[in-house]
Amino acid sequence: MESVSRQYRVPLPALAAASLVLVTLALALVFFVAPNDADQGFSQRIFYFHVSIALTAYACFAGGAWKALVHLWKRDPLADLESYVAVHQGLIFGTLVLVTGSIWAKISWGHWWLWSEDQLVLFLVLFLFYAAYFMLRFSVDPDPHREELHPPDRVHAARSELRRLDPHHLLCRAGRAARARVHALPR
Amino acid sequence: MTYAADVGALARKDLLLELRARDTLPAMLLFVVATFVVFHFALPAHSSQLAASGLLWVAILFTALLGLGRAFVPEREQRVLDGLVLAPCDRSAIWLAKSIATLAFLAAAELVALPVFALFFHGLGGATVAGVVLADLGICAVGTFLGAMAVVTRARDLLLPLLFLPLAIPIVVGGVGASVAGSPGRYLGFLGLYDVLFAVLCWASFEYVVTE
Repeated sequence: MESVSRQYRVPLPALAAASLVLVTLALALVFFVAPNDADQGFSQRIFYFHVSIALTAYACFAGGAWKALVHLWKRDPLADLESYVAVHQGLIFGTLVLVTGSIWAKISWGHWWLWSEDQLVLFLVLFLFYAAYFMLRFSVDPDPHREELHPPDRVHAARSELRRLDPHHLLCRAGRAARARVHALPR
Repeated sequence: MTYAADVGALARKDLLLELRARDTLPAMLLFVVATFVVFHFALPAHSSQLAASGLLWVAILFTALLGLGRAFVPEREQRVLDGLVLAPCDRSAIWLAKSIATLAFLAAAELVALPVFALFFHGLGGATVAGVVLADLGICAVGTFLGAMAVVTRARDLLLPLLFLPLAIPIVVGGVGASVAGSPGRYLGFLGLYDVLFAVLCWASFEYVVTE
């Protein structure tokens, strides 16, 4: 598991600080600089959140899929972890996409949800599927079980099982037991 | 042994098991007929035929789910899967054989279910039957793959529907479209495309499912 502890060069506090500055700047631009939309008025401003969150969710899902492929390909445990984290983030952003999208749809179309919009339905299916992936991920026991399912171990386990059932082996064991019993008899 | 012989032997094992134990098929048959009866009462009187066509697809999906949930039970209970993985055969053969066996059960259940549906509700068109055949292929390909995935988890019976239903949405879209649309060709083509795409995908990646 050495590769899991591989470090990135950009430290976490610096990333967090940069995010804080950029998000604050974006909020200030959204609420104080951008003018009201000519058509939709104030409600259009939710797009500054909704679209960027949606793009982030898509990027997370794509990144998660890519890292999962790398994991299958190269058996890199770090790739597995990265894939899981990306999907986890994608799911959080996906929930936010559905919530912000519904709020906008209620104001603009008068409905919380419209089945006739292909994009909405497609995103919901994608979201459901990743939610199921999440359940699957948590339903497979971590390391001990996974290692038990690892093929070389399984071959080894089967081999020792076979050896235990081998007639010659059984006879030897029975012989040893009998000898021990004979030795234990009072003379 | 060649690949085809491996697949044949494995599929024969599943069919023989079912023939002797009769665990799955009678349950599927009873379930699908009972579902139709429930649907008859769930649909308001004088509701359109289109609604009944939609319900046919729901019934097929849930019946298939019942069979798929049972598919890997013998492997789990008797630890057969360990032996199969150790056997010197291509692992995708396990998936192919299991898909064929599940397809046989589903087809057998539908041989009874479709006439019963025609009897209870309204007649069946050729397009619907063609749609059911194409959908069966997709259901069994994807469902067997997910069934193998779910069987190694703790919440196995719970997990299969959660994994399967989102992936089955295109099947329902294509199937219902083939049943109700004026020109079903486009929907049947869509179902065929789904079958080919997912069969190839599942066949190629099954190796990773039984390894981990």
